[in-house]
Amino acid sequence: MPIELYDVSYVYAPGTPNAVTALNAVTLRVDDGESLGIIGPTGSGKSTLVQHLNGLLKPARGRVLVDGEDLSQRATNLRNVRRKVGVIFQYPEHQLFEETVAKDIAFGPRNLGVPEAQLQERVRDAMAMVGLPEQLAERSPFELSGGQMRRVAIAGVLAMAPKVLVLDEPTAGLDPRGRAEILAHIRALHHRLGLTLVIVSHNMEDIARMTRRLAVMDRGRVVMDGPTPAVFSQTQRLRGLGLGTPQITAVMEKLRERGLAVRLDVLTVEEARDEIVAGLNRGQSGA
Amino acid sequence: MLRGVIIGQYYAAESPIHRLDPRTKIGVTFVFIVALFVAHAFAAFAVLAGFGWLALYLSRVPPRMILRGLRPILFILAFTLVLHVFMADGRTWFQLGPFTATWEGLHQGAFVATRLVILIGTTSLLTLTTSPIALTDGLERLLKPLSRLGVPAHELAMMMTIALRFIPTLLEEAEKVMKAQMARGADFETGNMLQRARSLVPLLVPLFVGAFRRADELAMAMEARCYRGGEHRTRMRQLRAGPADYVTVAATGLVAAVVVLMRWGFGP
Repeated sequence: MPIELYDVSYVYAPGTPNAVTALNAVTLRVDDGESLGIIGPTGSGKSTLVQHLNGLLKPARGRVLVDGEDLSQRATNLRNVRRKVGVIFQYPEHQLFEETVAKDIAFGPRNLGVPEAQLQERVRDAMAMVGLPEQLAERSPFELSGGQMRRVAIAGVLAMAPKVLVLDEPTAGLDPRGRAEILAHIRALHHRLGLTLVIVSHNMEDIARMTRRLAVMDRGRVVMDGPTPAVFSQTQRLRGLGLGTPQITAVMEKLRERGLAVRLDVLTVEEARDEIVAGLNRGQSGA
Repeated sequence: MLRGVIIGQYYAAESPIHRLDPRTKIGVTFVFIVALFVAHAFAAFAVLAGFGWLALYLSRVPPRMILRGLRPILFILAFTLVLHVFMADGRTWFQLGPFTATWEGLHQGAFVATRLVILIGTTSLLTLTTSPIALTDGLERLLKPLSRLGVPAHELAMMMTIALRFIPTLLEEAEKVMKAQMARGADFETGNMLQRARSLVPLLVPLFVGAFRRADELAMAMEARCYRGGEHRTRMRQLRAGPADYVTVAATGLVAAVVVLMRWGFGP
């Protein structure tokens, strides 16, 4: 179930002096089972792009196809699209409203017309997917910790059984432990259930760990798109856009500046270790 | 869909109206509203509307902005008109089932609707040309004499400042929550009145929770900067009335006098 964007442009407040072109001729394709990261400076159009993926915004120009269906077409059932493409916005815990965790998680599937008999099961499954203990089900979501609230909100989207999960800054404002837990659960969903992932983040470490493909946005355009390690190895260009690189990439770059011949496209500590060892060996055999 | 609300929105521009002392503008608006309710003939409305139009022209606020501000009350306008047309006694205009429309009703309805349009149009000019801070400054000064009677003028003004300041923030937040719920299959646009009212719960609860959270944070931030109410507070910008203010007050007085005369001064 691919998502395809062809030449998509979007303008906020069109026809006024405040008009802002948020997306400018973006063409992007997300295939089944991919894990795509999207990075870019603030105001580069990432959040606008995300809102096009499930038809919350309609492109001013261009087309968005989900599973071959054009989202701008009147005949397209947007609710159906939103079932397939689950979007989790920044600080999703701010959208909680029900009396109990279970009711809040059931809100999405209930809107989709899932029969009451199945709702319980959906809620239980979704809670398990994000590692929420079952005894929290009847608690008020407003009594929970920040990390737990966020997981409830994510479970609320997972309960709709989406094929694609789109997350906008999923770990913003969480402590390191909450961050690690949420990422672990998301990764498990990707690997075990084969969910397609689209993650928008300012955190390069998260992107490096979670995604295999990376698109870089700047002023409404996709300016780089490729395998995550390859994109991150273009350190100069990223820095020119005001973006950082994962720490490992930065370390490797410094080593290179000092004259050690190592590759930049490594993302994990283990890969880095092997590459440094290999680099040192190359250096010795050359000397 | 929430962008139409312009109450509390400031239209930044350089104009004689923008430069007026906020006290003048508040006072003039108040007198204007009183005059509007004193007026009992379309001719008087014409005078007031003309005055309002002049202010609008001088303010350089695009008339489009005012029209947009009127959009939310369209329903109330139509409702008022229809109610008057069918409820008033008088000469029959036409019959619709058991209801009788009367010419007197049409007259009354049009009258009340015109009054509403002028009321909203001109009062929104006050907030369009006066920044919220200037507005509350002016209000505080105008209420100050009442503080001897125990009216907490400063606190009231501060509450208003904060309320006005957070209107755009709340609208933005509402839009965000709405999108998040729509992503979960919520539907805010179809269904009957009851269903629609119920569909607002997932929007309103998060909005309230957010408002309380913000209020807490703001209170904390104010205390951290040692805010403790109005006693002995001085102002960075002192309000000063100039010639333009006197002219405005005089002109308003004149218009109000004309309206009063039109009601009680002429005729037998």
